[in-house]
Amino acid sequence: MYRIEKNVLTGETVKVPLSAEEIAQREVTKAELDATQYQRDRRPEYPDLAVLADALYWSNQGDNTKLDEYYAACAAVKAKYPKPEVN
Amino acid sequence: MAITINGSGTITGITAGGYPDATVTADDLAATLDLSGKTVTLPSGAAGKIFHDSQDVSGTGGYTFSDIPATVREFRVSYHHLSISTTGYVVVYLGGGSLDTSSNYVGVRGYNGGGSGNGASPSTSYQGFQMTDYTSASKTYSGTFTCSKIDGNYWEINWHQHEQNSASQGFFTGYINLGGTLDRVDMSPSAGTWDNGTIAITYIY
Repeated sequence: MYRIEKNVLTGETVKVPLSAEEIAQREVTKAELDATQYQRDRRPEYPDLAVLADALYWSNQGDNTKLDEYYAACAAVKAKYPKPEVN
Repeated sequence: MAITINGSGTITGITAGGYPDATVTADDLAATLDLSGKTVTLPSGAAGKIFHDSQDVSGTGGYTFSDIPATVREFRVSYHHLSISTTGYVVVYLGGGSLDTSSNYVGVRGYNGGGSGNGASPSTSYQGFQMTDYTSASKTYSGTFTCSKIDGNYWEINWHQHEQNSASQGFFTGYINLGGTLDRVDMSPSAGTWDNGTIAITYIY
């Protein structure tokens, strides 16, 4: 794997191989990201916090219908993007 | 006193050491100065020329613009439809002589998105300036960052990015104290390679 280095003065380009350290770092980063990808996948699909606020209000008034719907929507997102099992 | 020359012909009566004085003020110039086809030379060290270059980065593990002149005090990098071949995020490295891949990059990153997708990470050290909140291989990013020289070898970055066909955008502000005079800037994926995209650099030198 390499990066391209372009000299802005001469216009010349050269291929610069990535160092072993850089390659190793990229592999570590990828593993870390893969392990937490479910969090980023879930985030935009969770119900808006305003929905939760409204549900909490009605729950306080004795009506849990909206709160139950909110929890169900969260559960559906979690099921759609399950957390990887750690070996 | 302003000098007015009308018509055509020969000018006489101006002698060396006499009128006009050495300094020409703005009032001595015509309201409109047409410099078409002329070259204006500024004093040494004064900025004047604009450099711009853009490159397709597909298939590379990173792209570096090197040999940026030492007189540059600010530069802007814009990118369009960058995508990464695998799970990864966009990283910006600066350097003097070689890229600085240390953990000396300091800053705060954050994002806005749909649903409950909003947040920011506290100021901390990074290996490169990192836009880490979008990471899927299927995503495509565009954005711009500006790096400004503060003093010595301190450089401040102001960076915004958005994700194609999404409500998500990311931002990063931070700084680095380089070990030497800046002469290069690089954009790399944190993993894999760029499989699409164009990067452009613009600066005045």
